[in-house]
Amino acid sequence: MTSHEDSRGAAVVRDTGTSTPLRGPHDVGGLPAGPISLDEHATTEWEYRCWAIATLLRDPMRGARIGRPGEALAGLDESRRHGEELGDRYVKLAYGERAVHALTRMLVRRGVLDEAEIAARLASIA
Amino acid sequence: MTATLHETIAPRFGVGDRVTVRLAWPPGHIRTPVYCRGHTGIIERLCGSFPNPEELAFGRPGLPEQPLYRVRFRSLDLWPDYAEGHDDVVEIEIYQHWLQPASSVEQGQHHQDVRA
Amino acid sequence: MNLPVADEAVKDSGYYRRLQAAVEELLILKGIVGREEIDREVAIMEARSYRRGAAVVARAWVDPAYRARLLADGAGAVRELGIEIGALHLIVVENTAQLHNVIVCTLCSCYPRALLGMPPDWYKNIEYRSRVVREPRAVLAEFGLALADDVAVRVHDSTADMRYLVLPQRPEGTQGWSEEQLLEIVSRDALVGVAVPVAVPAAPPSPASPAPGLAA
Repeated sequence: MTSHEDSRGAAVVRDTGTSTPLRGPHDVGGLPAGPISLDEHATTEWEYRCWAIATLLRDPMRGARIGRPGEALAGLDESRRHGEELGDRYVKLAYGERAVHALTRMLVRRGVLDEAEIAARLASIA
Repeated sequence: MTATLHETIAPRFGVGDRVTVRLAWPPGHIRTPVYCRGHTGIIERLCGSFPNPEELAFGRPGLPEQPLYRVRFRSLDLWPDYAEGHDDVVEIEIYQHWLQPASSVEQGQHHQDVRA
Repeated sequence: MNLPVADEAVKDSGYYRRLQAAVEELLILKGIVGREEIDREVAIMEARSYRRGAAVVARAWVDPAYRARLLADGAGAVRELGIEIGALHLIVVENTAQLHNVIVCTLCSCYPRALLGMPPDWYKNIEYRSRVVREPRAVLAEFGLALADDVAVRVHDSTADMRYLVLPQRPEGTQGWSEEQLLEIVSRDALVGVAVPVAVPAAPPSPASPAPGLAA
């Protein structure tokens, strides 16, 4: 990887296809990869419920329930960003696992939930 | 700037225009895949205007809306060693702020193959 | 305090299933979402199936005017059939004798869920997303689809706000088939472009198991 700066000072590099901080772990188009597994799992209940919650929270009316009128409490691109920020851990998680991770990070970052209360709740769930 | 839901940027390109994708690696949430950056293709259609996902990713409104195009690239232009069909193409949705008119300077300035 | 992430041990203990439950319970306790709202949303998602897309294709095969409307305005033509797809922006791409279309989202897993339901695992996995733009014919061969050399491949990378549906070619040997018969030979994979329909007559439908997923 070589790099220099363009006229506006933004980093410009010649990408070499290896994993770098400048190619997100999700941006895999064109990279070598192994055979495609055609095994499929049926979407689980918790995967459906995670997606359902994210869908409901994207409604801009939702924030009014916690005194934040006109504010959506989730966003699709925001959720993707939190998944991408997993870095090297991105590929270790299944799609549904990344979705739960991203939803949780997003709610913590937005101040809707805090990590301590999530951890406490988690301890009560078998 | 006062943003409204209808605030958009005027489309700069028309169907058939040759465009080059910016060769840049900004941080953040980017919807322009690395494999097409620096490459030249042709506008296939204008899809409409949409909030900028790079802003939405950080909880901002993403306004003004950016025109979104579908850009058609010859697979052989994306990967000079592409070994399948000569007429194969890839079409990618790209927002206007990632596109420049393909000029004589920019043509032929493709960055090296991502597998190189 | 940091919640654990991506550790094999926590994965194996059902960590993400439990994390989902914890987040859901807290959101309900705070009055942000209701359990019934989530149940309702899940029911809507479970009712969506690729068979709705197959019904769209079958209609396009028997009705040339509908086919033209579908190619010009995908979402509008889908709604004509009473299929609820919300704000979906749909582009329908048509296979011909000279052109084969295949859909991918290399960046995540954008998929027309509102029309077809949840995407299959292979669509979401790294291997398909990495390779189908770079070597589509090799990938299609792994799905058992061999394309003739004189057929061009058009890969659609669904990177932004549009979603895609492939309109396959109506196979030879289906002259005189009803729309219902045609629907039965359109697979999910054909709607993504990793398969093509073939004229295998379907078994007569059982009255006990009506076609799922057609209701909105």
